[in-house]
Amino acid sequence: MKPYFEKMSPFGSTLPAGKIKSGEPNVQRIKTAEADVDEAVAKVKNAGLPEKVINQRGQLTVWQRIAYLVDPGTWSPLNTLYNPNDNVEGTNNVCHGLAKISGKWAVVIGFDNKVIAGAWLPGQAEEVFRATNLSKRLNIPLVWLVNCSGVKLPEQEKFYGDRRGSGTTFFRHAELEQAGIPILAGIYGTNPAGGGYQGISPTILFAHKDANIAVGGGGILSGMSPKGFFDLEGAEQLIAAAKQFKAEPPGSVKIHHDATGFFRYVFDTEQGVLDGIKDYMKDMPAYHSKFFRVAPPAEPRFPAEDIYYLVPFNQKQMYNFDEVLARLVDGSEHMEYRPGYGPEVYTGLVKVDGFLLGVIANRQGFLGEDYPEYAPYPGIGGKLYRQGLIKMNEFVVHCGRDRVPVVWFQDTSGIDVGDIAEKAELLGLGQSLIYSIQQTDVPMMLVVLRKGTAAAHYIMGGPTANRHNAFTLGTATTEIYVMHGETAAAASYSRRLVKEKESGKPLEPVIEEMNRLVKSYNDNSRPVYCAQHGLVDEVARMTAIRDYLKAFAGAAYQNPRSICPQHQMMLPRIIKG
Amino acid sequence: MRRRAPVKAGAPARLRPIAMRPPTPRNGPLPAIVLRSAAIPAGRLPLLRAALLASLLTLALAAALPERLRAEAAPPRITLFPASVETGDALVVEIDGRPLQRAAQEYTVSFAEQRLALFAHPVKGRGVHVGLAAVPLSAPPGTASLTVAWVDGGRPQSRRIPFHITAGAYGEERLRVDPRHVQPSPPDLERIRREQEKLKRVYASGSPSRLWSEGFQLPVPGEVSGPFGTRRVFNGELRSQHSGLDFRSQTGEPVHASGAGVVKLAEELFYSGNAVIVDHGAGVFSSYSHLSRIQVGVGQRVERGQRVGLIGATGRATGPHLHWGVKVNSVNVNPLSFIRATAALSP
Ligand SMILES: [Zn+2]
Repeated sequence: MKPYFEKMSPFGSTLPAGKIKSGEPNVQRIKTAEADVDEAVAKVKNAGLPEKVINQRGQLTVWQRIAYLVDPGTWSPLNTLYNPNDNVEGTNNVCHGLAKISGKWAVVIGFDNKVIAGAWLPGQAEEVFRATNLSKRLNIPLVWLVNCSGVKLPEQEKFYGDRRGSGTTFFRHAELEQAGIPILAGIYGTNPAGGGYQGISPTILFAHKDANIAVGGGGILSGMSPKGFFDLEGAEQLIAAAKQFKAEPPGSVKIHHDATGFFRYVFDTEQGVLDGIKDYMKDMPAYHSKFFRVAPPAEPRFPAEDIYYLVPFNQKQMYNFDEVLARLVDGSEHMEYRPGYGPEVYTGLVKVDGFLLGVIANRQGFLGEDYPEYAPYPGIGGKLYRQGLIKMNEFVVHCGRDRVPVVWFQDTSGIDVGDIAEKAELLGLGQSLIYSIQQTDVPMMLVVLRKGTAAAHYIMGGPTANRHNAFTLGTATTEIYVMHGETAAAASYSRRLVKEKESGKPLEPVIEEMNRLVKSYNDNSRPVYCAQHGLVDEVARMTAIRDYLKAFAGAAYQNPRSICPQHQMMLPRIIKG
Repeated sequence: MRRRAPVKAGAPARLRPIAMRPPTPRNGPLPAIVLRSAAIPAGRLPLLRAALLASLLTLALAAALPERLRAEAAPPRITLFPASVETGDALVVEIDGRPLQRAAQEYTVSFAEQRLALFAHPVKGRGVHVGLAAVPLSAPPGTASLTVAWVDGGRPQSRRIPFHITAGAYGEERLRVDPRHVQPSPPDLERIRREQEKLKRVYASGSPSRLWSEGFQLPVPGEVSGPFGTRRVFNGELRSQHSGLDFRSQTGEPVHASGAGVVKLAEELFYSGNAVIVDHGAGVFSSYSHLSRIQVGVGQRVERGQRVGLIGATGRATGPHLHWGVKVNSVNVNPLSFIRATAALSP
């Protein structure tokens, strides 16, 4: 299949000098928005005790552990800002991401030991599910850095119980193991109760010499008061018991290495634990990259920095998506699927780090008087019409057959509406796309380049595709909402405007409410909000999008559950005709 | 640690009015905000519906327009943005007196101890004035107000414009340190005192008129490593709140002026190391600290993006980084909020 893949059609063009000059304000606006995200990330990373204090105790912080564990340049963080309950700690207390360890991709997740010694906090279980889902979707190992003091007791009601509470994690671990996905766990510090299960539920346990895991900690053992309340005598007993358990918490290395053998290995140093994991990662199941690569990896022919000039911060301005894509893919080459059909959508095959990926994206701009062919009005990019929906359905189905992972890029204002559009079957075709995605069973990734809006956000590989969407990336220009704030205000208040007008009442109060709604849509759709609430899994710099594409491609092709031989693929032949 | 309430759609704190106007008689002039909301982009709606709605709004507006504008009695329209402010944010006040063309000097705008320097709106033209205010980190969350005063037909007029301040979500750095390491030596203390006095003079010497024209930008491309407002607690005692933003970078990387202005200080200071302070006029200063080298001189005019020095770790810095500060009316504000607030004023 060399003739198809090694040299695809080159596309994209050098940024015109005029655009570089006139685009400078746009660059600055995007970079300022990225600095906003940076600042929020720095707050999460600085949460809890300073690094200095942790290091003085002879420990490394979770960030230092991750930095030591992963191959340089491969850490692709996810859900760093995820904190839907706005915890006072400033974090949900776990951090995770994709990274290579000893040359192999894994999902890495760790407790932030700077914050209440790595306690369970509200919102944390959901991030853990995202990490376990990612492992499952990509069929790659999960690596835990356990350091978990258990439930933050004053807030236990928010996450202890329930179907998706913190304990659900242990069933998810069992589910991964059942599916043949290994979970390696480095264990540090005191891990009682929930922390004990965090420690015991993985597949292989690498413990630090001072680590312990237990059904219950010293606090629980000494805290059972037979009277149902506490008095002075009870308090004295508590003090005595606490002193004893503080000296020797249950479930130490003496018990769980020497007696039970639950800890497979024990290391004297913090780094030793990580070295142990690194060593094990060498033997984790993985194909060599040459097995799946269709060409040697190559950089794009145009700099990623150009994207700051290409994507307008002002959502009302248009741009050429193909030029953006040319900055993201190997050699700025592609094989476009049905270029003349459904012009509002790009579909095509590209290479990232030598691996074949399918790309589906919204295109922007005026589509001409004759499109969509079923309507008297002209089409505008960003919207979806009949042909675009049919094309996406076809392309997704072919990617499923050929086992090609799919990357979606959204910048959509929704699907065409009105009776003409209904007659053109757009509702049915939208749900058909959902069915098409569901039956592919290939990993997918989404980049919300600008707008993720209306049902289009769902059907274009959105995070709603729970079993397929591995993760969703936002950018500084991302906005996610059911409809634009101004549209929402017009839809919600137009009748009231008419009514007030007819009854001779002043319109200003209604108009003020409309503007408030616009403002609230604006505030609650911004990148930092989207990331804090999990609408996107991370906000990446424009220049980092390709790194995430590489992580996705490398991880998706590391150990896929099914294979289509390259010489039996149909998509390249269909494109060639 | 004080934290902002969870942000929910519809949370009242986030829904404060964007613009506050004195009540207008039904046939009085329409506030600017009405006209703005009529500009619904047709591209976002199915065309037919958009056209319908737009014409509906236009009709409604046309009918409400007065037969003649009683301009002489019209109070100015006053708008604050952003609409929701956090402690440490910069705030833009826009005073639209049109069709009257009152001069900037005819208005007095004050917020707490700040007296705002007004300048002509760079885009909207004559009769529209703009001023910048700063919400201090120490401002109590809740309702605050800004006062605009002017004289109409010899009669003093004033309006209080209420707005809502929410507490910013700032982290905390708790450190236990040997008190001897926190306390500078007597000669150092004397130096610090002298420098503080000098800084006070510098910040009081700003040009009343606006010296920038093209808005502001980040001084370095680096990654933000130290958020604005972080509380530094030494031995259980709140010592300071981070007055600017820290950018992680390499020694020797260039540092650029974030906006046009005049250099007011370029020298080594005890805490800030090699520092440059630029006066942007109208109450705005920016500062660049811990530089390894200063590349501008006092009195020099700098343009936006012009190099002022190189990244370093001079003064009280643990490693090479840029501390970037912005002061509005002598109050430290989050530089990012300042860039955002002034972005709308750029031509
Ligand atoms: Zn600083």
